Amino acid sequence: MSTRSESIDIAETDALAERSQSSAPWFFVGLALVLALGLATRFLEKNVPVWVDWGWVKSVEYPVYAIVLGLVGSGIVGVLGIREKVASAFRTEFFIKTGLVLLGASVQLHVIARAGALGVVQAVLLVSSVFFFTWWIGGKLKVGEKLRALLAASVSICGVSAAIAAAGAVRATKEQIAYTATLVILFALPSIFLLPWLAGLLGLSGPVAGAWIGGNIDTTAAVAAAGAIVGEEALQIAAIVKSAQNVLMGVVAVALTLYFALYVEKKGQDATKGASKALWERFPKFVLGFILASAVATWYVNAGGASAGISAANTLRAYFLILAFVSIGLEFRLTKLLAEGWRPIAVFGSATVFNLAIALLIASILFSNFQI
Amino acid sequence: MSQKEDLDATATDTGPGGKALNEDWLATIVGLAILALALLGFIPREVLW
Repeated sequence: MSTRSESIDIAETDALAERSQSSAPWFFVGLALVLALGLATRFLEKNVPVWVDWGWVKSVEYPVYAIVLGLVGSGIVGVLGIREKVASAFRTEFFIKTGLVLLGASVQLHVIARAGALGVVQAVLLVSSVFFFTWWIGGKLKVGEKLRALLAASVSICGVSAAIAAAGAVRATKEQIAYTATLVILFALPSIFLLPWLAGLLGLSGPVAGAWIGGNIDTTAAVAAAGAIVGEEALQIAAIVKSAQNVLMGVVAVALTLYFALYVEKKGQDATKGASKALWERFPKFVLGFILASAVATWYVNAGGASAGISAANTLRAYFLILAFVSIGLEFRLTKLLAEGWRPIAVFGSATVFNLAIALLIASILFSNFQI
Repeated sequence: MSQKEDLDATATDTGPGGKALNEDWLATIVGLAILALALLGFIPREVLW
């Protein structure tokens, strides 16, 4: 039987394994590809509304161009057979977190405090209800406990990061992580376009739409993409709500570690050691950067600082978000989905629909009177 | 940082040279550094389009 340390050692995503195969020159080839697609996104965003006079085409937002170009890029690197070599440059997590720290500069500190408090309430309600629903339906469909834990963590908290955190807790295999990561992206991609459209159809206000998107879409990058499509208010609230949800990842990971150690593997009281350390290790530190950026920018504006400074930070934020959205497209692969059959897909799909409904209800109640 | 700690940490990743990078902290530092440069007026206008 493998030890806990050995199990964690193999609990890597395929993406991480691919990155270890990459050399520095290939990393720069991949980075050049990401930057080129980012520039192309910016070029299309600026020029398509000038070239084309159709209403809906004029209103296409930059996340759409970025993701579509990323998907095209993914197809090209797949055909060329260089995906494993260049994948080390597709750093969605780094790009989105840097972008979100910069987003903090355009959000007043009091907005973070008010929306963050509501976001924590929403996150606690959503994460607990969606996690246990996914766990329950996974059991009904006879999905194994480890994969159920990964599916429940990823759909209820924050996608791939939560799946990796849960994998460490329950000693899942790298195949199970890769499978869950593919499912997360498969569901997140259409949500980026579907939720803004539904929010418009339902006539949701910016804050409610943002809270709904933040509480619903699994990956943080996709949340930002959907929020940006709806508008600036929705983007700000979506980022705050998603950050609040990310913070709960540590709590769930520790709870899963204890549950598996005490009840599944029956290891006894030793399992409770190090829980507080694990909570800090899994705390999303970029949230601190987001709050600090907001505090600095709030002070800067109140002190009469030039608006050009905030404007420059907003433009640079858009650059990083574009690179994140391009990377989502570049990282997408469908090939892992055949491994586990239809049951986990049904579990994930059911959980997503449940999440969609309950997040709409909670966001409508909590954020209906919210003003930025 | 050991590989165990590496994988335990949130969104931790490995760079092309094999050196462990915690992307959470890295993104926070890079984001705040860029914000400082922007607020101090050190970002060239040509970069912002």
